[in-house]
Amino acid sequence: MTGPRADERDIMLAAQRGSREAFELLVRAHQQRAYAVARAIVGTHEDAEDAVQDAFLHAYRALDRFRPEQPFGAWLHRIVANAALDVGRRRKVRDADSLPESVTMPFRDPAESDELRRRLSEGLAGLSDRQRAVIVMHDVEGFTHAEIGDMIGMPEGTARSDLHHARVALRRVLGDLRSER
Amino acid sequence: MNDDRRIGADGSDDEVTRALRRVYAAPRGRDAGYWNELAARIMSHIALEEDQWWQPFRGWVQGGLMAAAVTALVVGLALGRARRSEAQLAYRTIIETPRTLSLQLATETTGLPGREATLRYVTAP
Repeated sequence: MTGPRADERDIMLAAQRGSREAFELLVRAHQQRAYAVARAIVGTHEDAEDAVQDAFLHAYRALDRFRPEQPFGAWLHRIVANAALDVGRRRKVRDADSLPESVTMPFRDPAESDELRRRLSEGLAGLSDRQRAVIVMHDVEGFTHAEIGDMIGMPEGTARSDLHHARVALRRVLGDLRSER
Repeated sequence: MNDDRRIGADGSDDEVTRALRRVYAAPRGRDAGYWNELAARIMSHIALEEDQWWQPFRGWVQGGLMAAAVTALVVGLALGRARRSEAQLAYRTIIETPRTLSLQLATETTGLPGREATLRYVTAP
């Protein structure tokens, strides 16, 4: 894993010295990736936003514990993953009486067929939270198995195995659709 | 179409990946307004928290004042009650104290000869 770029390191050091402007630069540089990590773990866009806000707040409070020689992104993504897991747990407690039957899909593409959306939703609902997070982080966001393991707190081999099982399950539900076309 | 042709060397499935991206992809650079707004929200959240770091201490001050007032009230009530019981005790002592032996001896002369009664009165403590 490579260290931070020189300019980002300077920005991080300024943020550690208390510059709110410097921290805002870090927020702007990392929020999209942070959102992607959160979105892979939680069920909805709103929960992902909450997790990202909580995570940046937590990172700001913990800046003095950050070692500038490590990449800020990797450190932040662990915080985001933890925040997203917390939001997910809180959501589950709140929704205990009315668990949704399928995974919520906030960004609807009008060109996407209803049938594909339905099948994908069904397939995702059949995955464990961890399997869903792993396949989204890997296939959509391009994180490596090691990075995913580091973020979620599990061995790289487990991330690999979760990814395999998630792909098999989704291929099965989407495969039926292909054969019908 | 053969499904195997869609599956990459690493086991990825193009169609699954495309479908997932449609669902999970974050609003990208095309939606700069969204990201500006999110960054602004995050920073205002941080500013709010930073400006209010002393709020818990203000709570402590308020709590301390409240506790002091309650303590003063309780102590005042306890003191008042103690004074009242002290006075009551004093009255009761006066009213209910049994007559002393000397007074008894001095007054209980019935059945004793006059000389003995006088002697008891004199020798009584």
